[in-house]
Amino acid sequence: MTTTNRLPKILQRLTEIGIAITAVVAVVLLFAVFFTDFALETPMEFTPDEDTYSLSSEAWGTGTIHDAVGVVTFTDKSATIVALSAAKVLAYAAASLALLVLLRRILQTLSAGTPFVKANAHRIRAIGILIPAFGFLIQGLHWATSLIVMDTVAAEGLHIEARLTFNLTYLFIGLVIIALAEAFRHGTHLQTDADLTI
Amino acid sequence: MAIEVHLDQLLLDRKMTLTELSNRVGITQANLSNLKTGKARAIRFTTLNALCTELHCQPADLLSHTTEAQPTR
Repeated sequence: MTTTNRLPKILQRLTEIGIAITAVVAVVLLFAVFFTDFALETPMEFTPDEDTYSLSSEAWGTGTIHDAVGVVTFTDKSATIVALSAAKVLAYAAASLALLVLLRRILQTLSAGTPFVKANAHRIRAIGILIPAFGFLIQGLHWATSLIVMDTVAAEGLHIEARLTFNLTYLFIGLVIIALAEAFRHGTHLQTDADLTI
Repeated sequence: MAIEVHLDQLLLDRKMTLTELSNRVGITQANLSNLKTGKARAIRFTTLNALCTELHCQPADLLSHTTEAQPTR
């Protein structure tokens, strides 16, 4: 019984430390975006102007390169780059803080011995929605940056294209958490039944 | 509720308070109050046994059924 009560409290403390660290890191990164040579990394797709480049390998024989995926880094401080960098930092910070605050509140109820409450079911569902929403927001920001870069940058000997990464991992994680939230909601009904059984 | 609890009447007949019954059967006053006011959703056989023992009654003296429509939850 003691060990089951101790773990949520330890996790609660860890989330509180996490909240503090995230807030500090976000402030430091925002400072870096505005006042230092903060580099904006943008995922792009590169296609060489020549049809192909060939390469050879002792193990695999000869091969060709048609296009490549890489990262463009800008260090010059244009207003657009600063704005996009700040948006990314704020998105990461907001999502991380929201997740940690929700997690902390769930752990608080767990420490108090009353985890099966409707508010927790809503919090778990919110986490399930927040994770894919955040994932798509970041992917959207990357894509928006790629589009801006593509329109404004000319590279000799290379054709640059915006790269839309569509990672479904966030969506699957979110769906699993939403399913667990529904199971938890059912648990709250069972808890009410148990509480009102004399 | 279609099931009525007559705890009030039984306590009155036996000149017993809810606090006294609570101490005797080992059930909290809050839970007995829930039972008395019809908020309870279920009653355990052990609780029924304890109440019947202390109140010297039969389960039918404590509970009765009416044909009133049961509210959905």
